[in-house]
Amino acid sequence: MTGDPAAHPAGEPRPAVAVRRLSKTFLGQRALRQVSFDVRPGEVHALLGENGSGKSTLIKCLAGYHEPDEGAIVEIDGRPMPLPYGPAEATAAGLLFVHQDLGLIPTLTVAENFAINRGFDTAPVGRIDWPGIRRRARAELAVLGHDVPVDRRVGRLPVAEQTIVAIARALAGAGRGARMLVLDEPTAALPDAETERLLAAVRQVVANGVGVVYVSHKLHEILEIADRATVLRDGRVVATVDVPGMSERELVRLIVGHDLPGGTAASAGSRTKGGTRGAASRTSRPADTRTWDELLSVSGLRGHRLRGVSFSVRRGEVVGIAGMLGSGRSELARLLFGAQRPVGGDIRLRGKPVRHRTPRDAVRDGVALIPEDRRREGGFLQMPVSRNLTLPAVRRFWRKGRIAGQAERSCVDGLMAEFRVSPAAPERRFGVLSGGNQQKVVIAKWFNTRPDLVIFDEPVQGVDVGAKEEIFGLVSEAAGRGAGVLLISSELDEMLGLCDRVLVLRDGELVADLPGADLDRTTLTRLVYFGTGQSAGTSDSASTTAERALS
Amino acid sequence: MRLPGGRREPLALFMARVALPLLLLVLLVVFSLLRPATFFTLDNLGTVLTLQAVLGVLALGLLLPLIVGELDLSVAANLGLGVILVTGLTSQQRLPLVAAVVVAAVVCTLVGVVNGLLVTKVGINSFIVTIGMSTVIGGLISAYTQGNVFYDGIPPALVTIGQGRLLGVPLPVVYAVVLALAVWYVLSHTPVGRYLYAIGGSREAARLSGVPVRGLTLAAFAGAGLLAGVAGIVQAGILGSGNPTVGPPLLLPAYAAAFLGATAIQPGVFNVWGTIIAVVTIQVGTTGLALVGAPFWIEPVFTGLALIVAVATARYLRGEAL
Repeated sequence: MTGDPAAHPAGEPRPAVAVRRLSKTFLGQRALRQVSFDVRPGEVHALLGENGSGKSTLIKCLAGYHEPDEGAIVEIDGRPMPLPYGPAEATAAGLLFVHQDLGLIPTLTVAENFAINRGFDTAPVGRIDWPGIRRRARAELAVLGHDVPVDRRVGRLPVAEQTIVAIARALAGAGRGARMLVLDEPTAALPDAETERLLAAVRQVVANGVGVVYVSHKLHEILEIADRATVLRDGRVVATVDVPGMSERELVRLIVGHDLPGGTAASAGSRTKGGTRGAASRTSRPADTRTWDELLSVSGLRGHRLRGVSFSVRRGEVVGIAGMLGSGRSELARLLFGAQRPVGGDIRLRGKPVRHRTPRDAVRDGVALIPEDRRREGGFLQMPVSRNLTLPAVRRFWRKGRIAGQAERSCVDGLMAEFRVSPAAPERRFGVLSGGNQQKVVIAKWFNTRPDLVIFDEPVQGVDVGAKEEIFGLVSEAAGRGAGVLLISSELDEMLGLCDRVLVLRDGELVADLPGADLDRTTLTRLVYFGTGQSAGTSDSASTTAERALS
Repeated sequence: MRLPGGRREPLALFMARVALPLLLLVLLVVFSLLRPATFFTLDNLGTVLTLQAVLGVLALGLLLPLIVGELDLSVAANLGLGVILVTGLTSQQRLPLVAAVVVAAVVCTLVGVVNGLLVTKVGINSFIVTIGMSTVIGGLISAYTQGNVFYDGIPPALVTIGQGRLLGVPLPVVYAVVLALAVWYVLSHTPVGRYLYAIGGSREAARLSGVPVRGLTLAAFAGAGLLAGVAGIVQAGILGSGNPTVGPPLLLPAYAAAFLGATAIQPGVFNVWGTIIAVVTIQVGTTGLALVGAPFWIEPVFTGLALIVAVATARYLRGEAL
């Protein structure tokens, strides 16, 4: 795909945007090498690659935030853009970007967020024309087939709707000239059900003739929506492929450059770090309850969302918790960890009733929580990795009236190596690590406290494929060490591969508690959406019901 | 701008770390050359350091709330309260000095505790709480002193606390050094110090890591109150009188020292030795300028510019490095 743009093969549609030989060097380090790809009008073009493969740099070059090295060509509808250009010229030329941080102001209404981008329409005497602003916002959302309440504050909308507002706003900003829309990880924070709404909006965008560049780590989404995919590895284009007909396994192979052990991500559960515990481990865990102590038992637990939930977890067991956003799954984690006070119910740990008033109590009791929001709750962005790693266990190094530096350093070095944190530089700030490495640091920090009960809340959100495998490996390793594990995840395939049992929460109630072996994805999805494993009619009516359940 | 994963420190970061101590050294050399007879003498050094010892102790107190991400704008008024209590209780109420010192320290600590409770339990922004507290303290001081300065009946022992010497070193300097060592020990060598910095890094992440966020935030305010009280007692000894106006003018210099200090030694982090160096640098600069005959208004201009330039430079260097 590195041909001369003039020699574009006849028969193929002229690309909306064509990039040729784009390189980018930072301080002598090549971040991108001779990248060429093109985006056709009306196609969804996936941009794939592990963290650090150059996706973000490429997007920033196209957006005009980075200046590409000499020799690059960016063409729009066959006309070259003068390089370098800035963000304003990119927007004017119809290159639009919606980043994971949507850039909306949560305290303003939907209509105001549209107006603040475009300038407030004014009526006579310079007053703001509010009816006009609302009307225009509604019209711009209607382009995506969506009817979002324009007077609602953006911060109060579900994340999927916020993303749709951001997309509509970007499109509106370009008027009729939108050529390419780049969506950077638009579904990273979305549960499966909300993802469908967003994908529907994306289909609407391409139906209007705009080329969409879609960046996501969620490969089943790529398979569902993308027409073509360009894969980056180490700053180079490895391949541009037609997506229909490809399998997840083939995509993974392109992205990481080799087959992952254990095949696709779906069978992550069978793989563990170091390979000492193989696929046999799950079956080798005795089913006999008398051999494995009951670790946690919860009865009638109630919170703001949870309405009387009872279940138990044994040592060495991985118990999955599935449910939609708002089903109470994160609340369950917070209640068990003492981050939120229960309204009622009983929690017993090792047979003794416990009442964790703060996370501190829970930590002392051997509970660990790997929280959902890694950057805000999991780690300290400005602090060195080393400090992040030892914080909950720092008392262990308290000797003779001071923190023993040597002991702490060797503990840190050991954890960095064992959990394969990269780069192996413990003094780097946590915030500059990639998502996968940040998560490994958070997990290492908690494993180091030798917890009895480990709760993972969406541990692989926004993490690349390679790290995802490792993290799922760590989940089953925790169980292998004899801890009880609760795994909250939207990745149902992985959950099925990994969990001994799956609990399904829906509207604050436990609707199922089933052995993982008895479940398949379809049944689990139905349970999550409808609270019953029985077929709920055709898939069409199913998705309608799912949408209703969400709103 | 990824750098190779080694442990070697980038040059820019090293420069940021040593910029302030370097400035201090340059000032010392320049002024010694310009005024060899007066500047670099033991007497002058003693004066320079004594003048700033109280400010240093106040700035140490301020560090604690700053590290947990809170502001305490009441420390200077609290210092004033300490001055008035220790002088007033001895001269007006005829309390023994030891009792007056204890009462002053306890009351100033309690002011910090109230600040901390309002911030952690009631959940009010610390900026607002401590502005309110500062204003209230000012009013109470006026009520107690009726606007008078306490001159008579100040016990000589209090004056010794402020003006005595130990092995030739002025006592206020000794206090400042001892307290700096104590605060540094807590911050850098104990789990409590780790927790304080963690709270400042991210309150929620700290809470979810099992750090007692509320208790330690409260303790940081209490510590700021105690150190403000100690600074007040020392100030009373240096002045030998109870003046109701001594506290408030120290607020901005103390903040300047803490922020200036955060550019040095551990750039980007509020730290003890950076703060102490900042206090000394400002004083050496202003004293030196006075000795070479600069006009009186140079002092605030120098202090203000030093703060802005140092923070801007450190930011630039750190931006380059990371």
